Amino acid sequence: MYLMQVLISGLMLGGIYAMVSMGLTMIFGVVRVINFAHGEFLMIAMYLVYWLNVLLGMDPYVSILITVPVFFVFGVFVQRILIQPIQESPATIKIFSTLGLGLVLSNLALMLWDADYRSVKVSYSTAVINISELSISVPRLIAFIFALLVAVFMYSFLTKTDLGKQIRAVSQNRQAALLMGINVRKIYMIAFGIGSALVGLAASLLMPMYFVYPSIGLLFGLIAFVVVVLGGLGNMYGAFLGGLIIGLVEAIAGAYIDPALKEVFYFIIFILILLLKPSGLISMGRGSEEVGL
Amino acid sequence: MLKIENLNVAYGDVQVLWDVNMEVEDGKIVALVGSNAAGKSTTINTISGLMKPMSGSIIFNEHKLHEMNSWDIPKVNVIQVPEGRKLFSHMTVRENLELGSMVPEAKKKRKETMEMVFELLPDLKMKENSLAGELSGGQQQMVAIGRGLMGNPKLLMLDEMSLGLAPLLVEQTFEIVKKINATGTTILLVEQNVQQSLAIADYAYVLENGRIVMSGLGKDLLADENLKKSYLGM
Repeated sequence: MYLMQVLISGLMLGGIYAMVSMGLTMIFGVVRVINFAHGEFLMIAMYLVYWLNVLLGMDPYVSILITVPVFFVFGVFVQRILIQPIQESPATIKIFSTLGLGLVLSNLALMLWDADYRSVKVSYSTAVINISELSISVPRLIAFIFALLVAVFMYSFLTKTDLGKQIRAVSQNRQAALLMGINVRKIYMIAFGIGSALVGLAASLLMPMYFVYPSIGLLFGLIAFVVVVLGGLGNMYGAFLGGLIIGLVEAIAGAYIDPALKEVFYFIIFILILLLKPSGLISMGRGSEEVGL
Repeated sequence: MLKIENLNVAYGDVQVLWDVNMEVEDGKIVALVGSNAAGKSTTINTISGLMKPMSGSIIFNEHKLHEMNSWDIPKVNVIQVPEGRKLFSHMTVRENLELGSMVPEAKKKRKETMEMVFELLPDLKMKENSLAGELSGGQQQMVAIGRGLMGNPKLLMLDEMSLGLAPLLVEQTFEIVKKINATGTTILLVEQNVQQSLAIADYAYVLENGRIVMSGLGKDLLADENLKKSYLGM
């Protein structure tokens, strides 16, 4: 029963990781930029949820209506203003610019809001549902349900709509996409926007059970990178599966070994994947690991 | 009609096209032939807007293609089927065809056009749910041509469509081009396969080291012994 309990809470946590990682892998797969500021986007989004709650009394779940569109627009702007001018530059330049953006955001947060840990106070943050001997945290369950819905939504969007197909086309062959009359720059902005919007959603779902501080982005950014490599770079389904796996690993390691060592296990997985299957769990096939940053 | 005047194109500091002048009349098949690295692909990539010229103009029915973004060029019904097919290989044949009709005008006619494409290329109908990357080379070339047709081209540009295909398939491909042309679509054929291209072309240009060195009716060039020896190594 104890194991069952551990697995369930791990899976639920994995839902959040999956959501953040799907955003990162979307940006990477389409725009071919590694967003090193991804964790910091999440941190800023969490502060947004926090302040909406403190100043306006808005419930974190209601704040989804704000965080998702705000962060979509934010992502579009980052792509348009920061990335597009250096789209054709070597990978190192793109790495430095997103890394730099991350540093700016985390230090801005430190300057404006200090290093204090802040959390929203909602009645349900420690609520649990008991099913026989299992107890399930309500905020974690809600986050997990949202993660499933997002995965289903993204799958239908990418496979059933013209815009979704255009996004996939751009990720597979930009030059051919241009020849089809697809405005590749616009697709980049939309993909970056969707990737950021997923972070905004994750922030709203995280705040009822987490606290925010300026360097929390580092933690989530790290997890997202491990998940994305585990799932296969640029692969949405891989990111979803990878998120759940990392959630499970964290819960098992925390319960049976030592919660303080969870990062050690992320990195063991990270190294094993790089050694044994560098194209990730779900590979897009031969040559897809060569991504041409 | 497509009219190219005094076109100069460079990759960085290296100029690859020098004062190219060409005309492609409506309803014709025009071939652009020449050896490897003569500048054939550069020419059609410049028409498609993937490269910007240093000077010169490319006009198609009043549209100044040289000033347009590459993604706007399919909107004026100028479509390129690129060398090496460049399919979306992790997507199905049907999805590839759909992606050929993303500009608004083509999108409206998507259903009818797809039926027309399936009629012309019946093999695609059978493979419509297969991943494009899993098809044979010949089938992939048909998908590439079909995807191009989905954009309702007035001018269809085919870059090295016969490259890497078995002789029998090459012949079939040229037959299909003739059929497409018979429906009123203008064709610009860029080919290393000189013999076959000249045989079906109304008019042809020979490109050598980035310059047009010869032009004339397809059948005249085909009969020109001098041309074969000096430029085409036949």
